[in-house]
Amino acid sequence: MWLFWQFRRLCTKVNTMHDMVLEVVNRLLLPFIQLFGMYILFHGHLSPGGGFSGGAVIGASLILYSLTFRFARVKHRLDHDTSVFFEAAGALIYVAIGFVGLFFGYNFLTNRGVFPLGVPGQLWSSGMILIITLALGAKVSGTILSLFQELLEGGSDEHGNP
Amino acid sequence: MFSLTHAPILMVVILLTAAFIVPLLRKHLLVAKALFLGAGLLVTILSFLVAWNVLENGTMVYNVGGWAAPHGIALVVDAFAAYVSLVISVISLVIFWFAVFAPREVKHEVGYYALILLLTAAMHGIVMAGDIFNLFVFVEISSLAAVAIIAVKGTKESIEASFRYLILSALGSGGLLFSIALLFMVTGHLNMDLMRQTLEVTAGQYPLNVLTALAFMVVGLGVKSALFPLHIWLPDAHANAPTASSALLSGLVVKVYIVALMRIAYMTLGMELFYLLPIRQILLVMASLAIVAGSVFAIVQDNIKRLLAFSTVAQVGYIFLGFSLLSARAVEGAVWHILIHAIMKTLLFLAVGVVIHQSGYKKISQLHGLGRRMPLTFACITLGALSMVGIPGTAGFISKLYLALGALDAGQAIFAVLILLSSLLSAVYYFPLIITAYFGHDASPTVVEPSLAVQLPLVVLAIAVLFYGLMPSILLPLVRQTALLITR
Repeated sequence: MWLFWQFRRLCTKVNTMHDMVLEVVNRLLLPFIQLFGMYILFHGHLSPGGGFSGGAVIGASLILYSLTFRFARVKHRLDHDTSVFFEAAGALIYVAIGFVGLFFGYNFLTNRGVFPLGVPGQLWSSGMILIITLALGAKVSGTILSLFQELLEGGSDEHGNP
Repeated sequence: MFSLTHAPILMVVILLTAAFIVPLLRKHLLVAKALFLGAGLLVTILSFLVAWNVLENGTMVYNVGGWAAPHGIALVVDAFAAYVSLVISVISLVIFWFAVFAPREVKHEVGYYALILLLTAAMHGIVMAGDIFNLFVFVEISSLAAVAIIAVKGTKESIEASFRYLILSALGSGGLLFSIALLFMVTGHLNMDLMRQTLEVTAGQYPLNVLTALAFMVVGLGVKSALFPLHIWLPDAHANAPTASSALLSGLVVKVYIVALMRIAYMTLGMELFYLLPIRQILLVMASLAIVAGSVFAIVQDNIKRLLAFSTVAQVGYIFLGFSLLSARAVEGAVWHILIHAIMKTLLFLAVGVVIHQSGYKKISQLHGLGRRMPLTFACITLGALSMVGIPGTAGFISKLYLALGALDAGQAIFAVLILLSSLLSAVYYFPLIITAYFGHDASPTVVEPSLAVQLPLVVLAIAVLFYGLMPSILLPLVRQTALLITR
């Protein structure tokens, strides 16, 4: 029983705590994590990785950010609406890329003949694959963040009522 | 610019795109509703055009990304796919209308619309996929969306039911994926057409793989389509969902998995396997058990929606019976029953949902005299129930007639007797509903009819029941071609 109360006290303390170590370390780490995520995204068509893995890394970094710094501060920068918007925008860009092929008289999602293919092996190559990877990255990171926020809000509705 | 060649992919893409835009319009509910209905209407028009084109010019094959079959992903719209996606789009449009205009049952309306759109897109995808792995992906999307549209109601029962559905349907997905992996091992192809050609050579070399794959496929998709001993998730799930979800799940979703099974087991693995294995006999037994047990369980229900759910178990049995009897007319009957059961069950679920909302009564024994308070709604229910029983002049008669004739063609008259018997059983559980509603004392004089916009889908479906009962010839060419494809 005593242990339980101690644990509870600790939890409430952590909830309101401003941890200096965490903040400093994360301030240092976050840019690198996000840069790494970007690297995976941009090299999706050249090396292992791509939309999902890169997006997951970026999404995880955003979760880390909102866990470390106070939710209130995060909330006005990265609120739920924004993450939902990114989620939808990623998918819509994908569909829009698909329609480009249609407008040029080819089939849906055609790459060859519609987008410049470039030299294989270079960063700016492979036509639409790079754009699609980026769109997927936006979608996946948005989805991961919005799942996290959904859990935070505990299934309450838009007015914060459970 | 957009010739009809692109229509198959557009049907899936339009619904998916709408599913992604609708959740953004939380603040603009009217725009969201307009988009929801507009997407449904557009897809319905496209599916009519596709069906007409398939009848005129034969099977349409669409290569996504311009890559042909061994490398690319193909959508194949044959008569079967065109027919089923026509059924899906028309019935789902009616349900869309109901979901927009009916009284609100769920908390997040735009999220609900998005889930319905996702489910419909996935169903079109399952039907048209020419690639066995894409079929699996669409099966997954539809299973998850189907679970979500039950849980979205938020009551304790609906969450429990949807959780059970989630677990069992995940088991089914596992079986399906395993069987796809086994088939890929044997053939090296995921494209169904190439798979069939390769299997003609390799099936004899690796018989165990193919047989195991077939077994896992039948069980996996059998769970999802609620074939009798595997149906245990269905009554709770369909009875506790919001009205529009119940109609969608009972009317369409269950059948789409049967279509997937037919596409893989019959049209890809080929008929020869069926003569080597007793799988037809197993399916026949399970279907007959489903018909009898579903009806018997339905008789003892007092909750109206549970009664309808058990009746779905029985009706799924009819469709499996037709497909496993395998005479031309039995298969035609099963193909008819996909459409006709979708109309009848959607009508009944929507009408019963309206009654439950207007009166607050969920049990048959409480309905005394409501037929006089809600004449139009109960007229629709009566028509749907008569059609379920199979009274001549209603749509239900046509499919049962074909099934019974098909059973005689196959030389198994016992199944014709079974169909007759189960018609009597369905009369036993549907007529108390009508009799209590019309002949009881007037217990609830304050109940009124809902608005006209809510009743419109009921009336449309009731007219469709009469229409197909009296003039079934309208869709006959499509049905006949579908049956030919399956029995080929």
